[in-house]
Amino acid sequence: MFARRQRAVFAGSLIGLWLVFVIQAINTPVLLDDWYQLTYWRHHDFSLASLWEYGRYNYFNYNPRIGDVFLAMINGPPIVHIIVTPLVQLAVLPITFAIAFARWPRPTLADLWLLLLIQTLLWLVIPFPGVIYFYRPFATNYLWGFTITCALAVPYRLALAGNAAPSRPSALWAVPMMVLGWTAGMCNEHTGPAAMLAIAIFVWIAHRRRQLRAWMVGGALGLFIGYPMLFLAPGQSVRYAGLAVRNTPTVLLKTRGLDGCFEIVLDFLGNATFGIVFVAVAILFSLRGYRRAGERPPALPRQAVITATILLMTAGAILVTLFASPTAAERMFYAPGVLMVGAIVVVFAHLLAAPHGRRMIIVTAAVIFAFHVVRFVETYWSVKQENDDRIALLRATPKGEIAHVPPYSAHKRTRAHWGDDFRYASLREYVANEVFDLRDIAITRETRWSQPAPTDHYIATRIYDPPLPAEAAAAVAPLPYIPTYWEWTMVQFRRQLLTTELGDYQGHKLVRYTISAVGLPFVDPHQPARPVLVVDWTPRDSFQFVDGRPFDDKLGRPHIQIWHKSLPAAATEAYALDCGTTRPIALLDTDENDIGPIAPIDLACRGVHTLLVCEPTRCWLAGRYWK
Amino acid sequence: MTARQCAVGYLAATALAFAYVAFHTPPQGEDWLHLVWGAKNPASRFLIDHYTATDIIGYALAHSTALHTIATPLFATALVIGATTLALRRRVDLASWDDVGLIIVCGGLLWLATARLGVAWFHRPGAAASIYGLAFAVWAIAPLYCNWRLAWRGYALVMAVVGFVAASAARPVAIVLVIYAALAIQRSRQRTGWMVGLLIGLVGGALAVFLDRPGMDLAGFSEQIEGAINIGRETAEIISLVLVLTMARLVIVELRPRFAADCAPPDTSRALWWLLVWFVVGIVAIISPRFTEAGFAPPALVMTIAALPIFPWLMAVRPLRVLVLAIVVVAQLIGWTLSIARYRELADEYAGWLTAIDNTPVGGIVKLAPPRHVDADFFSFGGDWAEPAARQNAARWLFDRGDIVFTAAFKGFEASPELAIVLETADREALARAPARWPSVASAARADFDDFIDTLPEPDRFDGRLRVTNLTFAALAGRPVYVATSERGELAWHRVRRKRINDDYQITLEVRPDDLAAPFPETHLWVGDREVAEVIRDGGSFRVPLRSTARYVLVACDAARCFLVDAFRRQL
Repeated sequence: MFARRQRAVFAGSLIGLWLVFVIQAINTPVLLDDWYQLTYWRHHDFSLASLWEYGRYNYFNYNPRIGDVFLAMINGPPIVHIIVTPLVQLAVLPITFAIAFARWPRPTLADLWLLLLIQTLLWLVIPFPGVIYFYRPFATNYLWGFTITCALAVPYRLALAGNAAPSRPSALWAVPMMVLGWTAGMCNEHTGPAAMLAIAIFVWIAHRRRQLRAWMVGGALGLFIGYPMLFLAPGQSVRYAGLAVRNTPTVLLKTRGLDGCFEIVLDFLGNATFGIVFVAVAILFSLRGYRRAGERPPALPRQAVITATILLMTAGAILVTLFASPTAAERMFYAPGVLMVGAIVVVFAHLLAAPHGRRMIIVTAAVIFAFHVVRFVETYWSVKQENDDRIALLRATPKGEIAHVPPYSAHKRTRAHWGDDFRYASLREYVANEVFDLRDIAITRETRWSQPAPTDHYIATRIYDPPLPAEAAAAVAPLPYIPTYWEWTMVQFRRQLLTTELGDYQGHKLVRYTISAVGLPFVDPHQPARPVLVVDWTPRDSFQFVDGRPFDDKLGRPHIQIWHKSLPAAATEAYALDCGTTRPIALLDTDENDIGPIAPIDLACRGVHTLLVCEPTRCWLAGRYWK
Repeated sequence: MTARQCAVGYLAATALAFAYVAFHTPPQGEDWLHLVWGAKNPASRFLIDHYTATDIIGYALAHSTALHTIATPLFATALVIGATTLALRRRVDLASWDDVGLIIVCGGLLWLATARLGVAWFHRPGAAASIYGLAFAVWAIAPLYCNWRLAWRGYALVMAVVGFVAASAARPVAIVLVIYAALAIQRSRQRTGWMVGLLIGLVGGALAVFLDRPGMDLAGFSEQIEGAINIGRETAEIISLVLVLTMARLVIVELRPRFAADCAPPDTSRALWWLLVWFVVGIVAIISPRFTEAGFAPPALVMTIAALPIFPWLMAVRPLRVLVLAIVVVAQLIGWTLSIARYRELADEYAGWLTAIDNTPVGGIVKLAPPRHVDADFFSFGGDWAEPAARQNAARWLFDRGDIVFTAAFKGFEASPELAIVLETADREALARAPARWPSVASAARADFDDFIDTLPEPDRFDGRLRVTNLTFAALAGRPVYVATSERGELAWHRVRRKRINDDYQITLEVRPDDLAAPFPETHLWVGDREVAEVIRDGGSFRVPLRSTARYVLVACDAARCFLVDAFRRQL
C-alpha cells in the first residue's frame, strides 16, 4: 500500500477510535463517586481556584491523589469530559507504544497493527475494562494516573534509546518535567515505587553514559517529591476513619501472609487470562506457519527479549507493591496490565514481522476489538438512558420527600459496566440530601443486592465555650441532614469544621460535637434509658467512636467485629438489635485474627442489624450488619 | 539411582500419599445419596438407576473405603502416566530420565492447574469422574492418538468397555472423545476392530451421560457468557507459567549462552488443537448441571497435556531445569502435606460424628457439632449435611435414628421444617408395610413414599396419601394438607423443584408436571405463624420472597383439600 494511503488509514483508524471514546464520554452515566463531585460543583463555580481549593482540601482531609482533582475537573462542565477524557484514553496507545519500542508510532500499517494489538490486549488483560475506561472515578485515578506516569518515562526511554530529537534540549524543559514528575508521583500509591525505581535507573544509566540532562533530573526530582507527598499526605491518616493508619504495610503483609500475596498474583493472572490465551494462540499459530513453510523460527532479537523482560519485571514490581497495600482491588491491576501488554507487543512485533500467522493475529485482534467496541457502546447507550431517567425522576420528586427509583436493568457489575450504584444505602441518602434536597431515595423493588436503609437517624449536639444555648449552637453552620453512617458523619463534620465557622463562632469555641442515634429499636434495661452515641469529638481527644465492621466467622456465621482499640474501656454490656428486638449478648474472643472481639448477629430477618456496646451512662453504636 | 528407580519411587510415594488421604476421606455429598439408595433399594434395581460410569464407580467408592484406598491411587497413577503418554505421543520410557522428569512435571502441573483439586481427586464422587473417568479417557484415546497397533482381537471388547466408561464419566469429555475418535478413525487408513469397538463404546457412553438427569442448563449460560473467564482463571495458570519460563529461557540463553544445551525446538504441533479441546471442554463443563469448580478437572488435564511437550525444551537450559523441578516438586510436597493434614482432621471429625450417632438411642435425634470446614476450598468438599433431607435420609436409612441436628448453624445450613407426616390409606396391608415414621421434610417424605409404593405387591392399585398433621392455620379451614398422593398407583405432587434465589430475593418452587397445580387455584403462604400474601404464582410455579429465617409453608388448595408445595427454614 502506498505511504499516503497508509497514512490515511492510520489517521482514519485513530479518528475512529477517538470518536468511539467521544461517544462513550457523552454516554457516561453519573455513578457512585461522581455524585460527590456533583455536590462540590453545586456549591462552587467551575474555576481553577475552585479546583485548587478542592485539591487542597482533599490533600489534607480526604483522598490526596491528584486523580480526584482530575475527577472533579471532568465532573464539571460536561464539555471538559467530552474533550479531555477521549484524548487521554487515546494517548494510552502511543505512550505504551513508545515505552515498548523506544520510538513514537509512525503512520504506517505495521504500526497501526501494533496499536490495534495494544488496545485489544489492554481490554483483554485488564479487569473490567469498560469500568476502568468509562467509569470516571476509575478512569481518572488509574487510567489517567498511569498514563501520566508512563508519559514521564517516555522521554527517558527515547533519550536513552537514542531516539530523542535534540541531544541538548533547553534546560527550561526541567521545569515542565518536574511538574510532570510531581504529578506522576501524586497519582497512585501502588505505582509510585516502581516508577521511582525505573526513573532512578534511567537517570543512573544516563549519568554513566554521560547523557544526563537537566530535564532528566527535573523529572526525577518531581517524582521523588510527589510520591512521598502522596504517601505521607495528611488526608491518608483521616480518610476512611484512619483505616490506612491502622493497616500499616507491615500489618498488611503479616495479615495477608504468603498465601494472600500469592493470591494477588493469581488474581492478576486470572483477570489477564483472555489476553494470555490470545498470546499463546498467536505464538502457536506463528510457529505453525513456520513449521508448514519448513522454516525454523528466527530467534527473538536481544533488544526485544530485554525490553519485554524489563517491562514484565516492572509489572511484577507493582504487583509486589500491592502486597503491602490496604486495598489490592482489581482496578489496581490496570498499571501492571499496561506494562504486561507492552511486553507482549514487543514479542508480537516480532511475530508480525514474519508472514506466518500475521493475518490470523491481526484479524483476531480486530474481531476482539470490534466486540469490545460494540459491547461498550451498546451497554453505555442503555445505561445512560436509565441514568438520565433516574436523574429526571429525582429532580421531579418534591424537596424533602423520599424518591422511589427503579433499579437499573444492568444492576450487576460486568466487564463493561459498574452496575447499580444505588445498592449502597449511604450513597442513596447522600445523593438524596446533598444533590437533590430530598429526604432519601428508595429502590422500588426489594432486591438481594441493595442495602436496606436503617430505620434510625442521627442527631448532632454541639457544645461551645463560652456556652451557647442549644438552639443557637444548632444554628451555627446549620446542616441540612446528618448522614446515618458514622464514616460520613465524620467526613461531614471535618468539612464543616474547616470550611465554616462551626469551630469558632464569634468567640465561642466548639468544645464537643456528639452524634447520637435516635429511633433505634433499643429497649434499654437501665432506666433512665441511656443515649446511644455514634461519634464523640473534642479538640483534645479528636474523634471517639466504636469501629465495628461485619465479619463472618469460619462457619460463615454473621458477626460484627470491633477493633479492640476502639472498644470503650468502661464497656459493661452489649446488645444486638435484631428484627425489632433487643438481645443482650456477650462479646467473644476470636482466634481468627487479632483485630478484636466479635458479637454474633442473628439474621432472623432481612434488614439492618445493629450492635450496641454500653457503658454505665451511655451506649455506643458499635456496628451494623445488613441482609 | 536409575531413572526407573526414580520413577517407581516417585509414583509409589504419590500413590501412598494418595492412599493415605483416600483412606481418611469421609463419605460426603453425593456419597450419601449412594449409601441411602443402597439401603433403600434391592440390588436388582442397580443398573436401572445407575448407568453412567460416574454413578457406578461413585456408588462403589461410597460403599468401599478399601476400594477408594487401593484402586483410586492406582488409577491416579494411570492418569498421570496416560497424560504424559499423550503429551509424548508414545509410550513412556521409564529408563529415560527425560521421560521420568516429564512424569514428575505432569504430576506437578496437575496440582497447579486443577481448581479444587481435593474435591476432584479425593472426594469420592469427584474421584469417580476426575480420576477414574479421566484415566479411562486418556487411555481410551492413547492408542488412536499415538498410532498404536492393537493386534489382539479381544481389544475390540476391551476398548468398547474403556470407551463406554470414559465417555459416560463426564459430558464435556464425552463430546470431545466422540468427535476426536470419529475423526481419527475416519482418517485412519487401517480401520480395525478395536477402533470400531472404541467408537461404539464412546457413543454409548456419551448417550448414557447425556440422557442422565439433570439436563444441561443452556439458559443460565447465555446470561453469563462472560463467566467463561473462569475457565481461564481456574485452569490457565499453566499458560502463564509456560510463557514466563519461555521468557526466562530466552533471557538466559541471550545472556549466558553456555547454559543452553543443544535441543530441538519444542513440539507445539498439537498444542493448538489441545487449546481448542481445552476451551470446548471448559465451556461444556460450565453449562453442565450442578457445575462446581471441581468440574474444571478435565480442562486442567487437557491444559497439562498441551503444555507438557514444551517442557523438555525449557528444561534443556540448566537453571530452568532446576527451577521447573523445584516448582513441581515443591507444589506436590506442599499439596500432599496439606492434604494429609486436612483429611486427618476430616477423618477425626467424622469419627466424632459416628461416635455421637452410636451414643444416640435408636430412633433418637443425633446432635452433632458443626463441621470445621464449612466453605469448599482447594482441598476439601466443605460443610456436609447442610440440607435437612440429606441429614434425615442418612439418619433414618443408614443409622436407624430419627434425625440429625447440628448444635450450631453454619453457612448454607437449612433447618428441618419439622412437618409431622402420616400415611392415610384404607389398604391395611400397605399400612402394615409402611414406615413407622415418615420424614419431616417434604422432599424426603415424597421420595420415601415413591419407594414405599414400589415395595407393595400391587403398586398399581394403591390408594393413599401422605398427610401433614401439624399445620393448624385458620385459612386451611379444616382442609387436609397432603404432601403426596397415589390414586391407583398414580403419583401426584411428588416432584417439586426449588430453583436458585433470584435477584429480588425470591425463591421459585416449581411443581412438575405444572398442570398438576392447576386444579388448586388457592394459594397460602405462612411465615412462622403469620400468613403473608406475597406469593407470585404462574401456573405450577410459585415465587416466594425470602425475608426471614422462620418456617415457610406454602400450600395450594381447592375447596376440599390442600397440597403442600414446600416447607423450609432457610438462612438468609
